Amino acid sequence: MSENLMFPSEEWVREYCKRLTESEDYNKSGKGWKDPIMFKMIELGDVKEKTAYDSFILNLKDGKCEGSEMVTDPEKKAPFILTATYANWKKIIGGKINPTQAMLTGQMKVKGNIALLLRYASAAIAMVKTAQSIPTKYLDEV
Amino acid sequence: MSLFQLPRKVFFQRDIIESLGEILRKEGIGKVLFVSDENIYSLWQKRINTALSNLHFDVFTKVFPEPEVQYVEEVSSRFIGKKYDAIVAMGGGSVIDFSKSLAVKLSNPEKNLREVNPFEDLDLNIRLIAIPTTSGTGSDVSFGIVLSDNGAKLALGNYDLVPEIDILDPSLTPVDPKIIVATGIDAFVHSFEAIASNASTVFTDALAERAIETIFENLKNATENEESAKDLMHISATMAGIAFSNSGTASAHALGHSFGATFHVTHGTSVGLFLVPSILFNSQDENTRKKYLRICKILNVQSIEDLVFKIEEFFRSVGQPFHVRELGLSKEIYDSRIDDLVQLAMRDSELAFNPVIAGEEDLKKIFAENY
Repeated sequence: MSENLMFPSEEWVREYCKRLTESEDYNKSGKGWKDPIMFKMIELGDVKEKTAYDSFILNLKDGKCEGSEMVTDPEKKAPFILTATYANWKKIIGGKINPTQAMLTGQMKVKGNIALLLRYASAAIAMVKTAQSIPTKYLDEV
Repeated sequence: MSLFQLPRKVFFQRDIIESLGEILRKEGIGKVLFVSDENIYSLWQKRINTALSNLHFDVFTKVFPEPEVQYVEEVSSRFIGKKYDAIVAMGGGSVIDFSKSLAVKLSNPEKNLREVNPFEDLDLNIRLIAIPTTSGTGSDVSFGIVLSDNGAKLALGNYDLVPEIDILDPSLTPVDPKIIVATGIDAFVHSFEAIASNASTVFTDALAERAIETIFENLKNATENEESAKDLMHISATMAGIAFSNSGTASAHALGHSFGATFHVTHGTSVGLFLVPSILFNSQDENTRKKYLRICKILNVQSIEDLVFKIEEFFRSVGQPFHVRELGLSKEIYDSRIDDLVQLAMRDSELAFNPVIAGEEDLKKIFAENY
């Protein structure tokens, strides 16, 4: 891939979904997982005018990503919702914040069955590693 | 933002239990629920009652290993509305974990303990003071609770549960070498796991490295009840506890929890069995390998292979088994349970902190090779 993909964008999310399915680490750590996860960005600031989306959903199943959906409806729900500011998502994707620490410190808010999520915390690490592998550019940097 | 959390005060002095009343009064604590177990309380009853004589205190000693959630709820109903300033938990991990759970229920009687998690504040309105009587669990400084829920292990955690004051008095620790070894090895493994964890920091590394060195040098003498060695073991266990509570543990704990629950083997012994396989597995990660090489320098060996030999020698010197077969478990029975062991370990949240992502096949191989 020669060009950096914009985060968030449909192209970035599609590429993310594809790479998750290809990731050996995610395949093994996400085995048994059944639910879609919504990734939600808040406090977009100036970036808000540059994107139609502040959320996306990944349909994750058994260590693979079976599809993705960009979300525009603010009422849209998913069994698990991970919420962070745009600035913190950038730090997480850029590897500057450990996702487990982000959850513990409240930089990333978690909604859903937390006990289940904790059992798959290593899948969250694999997901972040996969996101980090995507050549990414950010809305506030263009 | 990373977070490093520990008790506001740690007192460490042999026989400091005799000054417990003064410590509490200085903290503005006048009414106390003292929680312990029958053994500990019967051993130290006179010292405790003398120390607390100028305070209002109630005593509860019916705490059993790995307490059931329902039991905590039943017990808490007896104490709701009594308006204690603090719970003083004196005992091993089970007593301290029971007390943390009690603090949750006394602060919020409607709260379901099963829903305690690291992400939502608990807003406790009762202070927690820990007096550990074993040198190993780290519960006196950690955010975790281990309970039983209808026989199954329930591991919970929240930073509000880190005790506010920790009182380390080695005169309260056991004299039985078997307990000293099992708890000491637990602390040794906590330290290695804190170093390997993907959430480790310079703070946690510093504490864990020093704890490894001190435990390595003192556990053997502690089993012979040498006073200075026991003093250092007690402090080291707490250092290791602060380290792992802020970094998480890793695969040796996930594997050890699974093994211990399946074959009813003591926690420290179980996690000790899986320390070396975890070091070898996690050495694949370059950063973790470098950290292990720092430990090599501390323990005066040249390579990770030498480190493994050094740990084996250390384990043998204190009577900690190195392989599963040394427990007398038949290979046939062990092999027949490997799939169950793998499933249990895969569900353990500690795996999330492992520097190398482990799948079912990885764990299966480790279990099989460690017989």
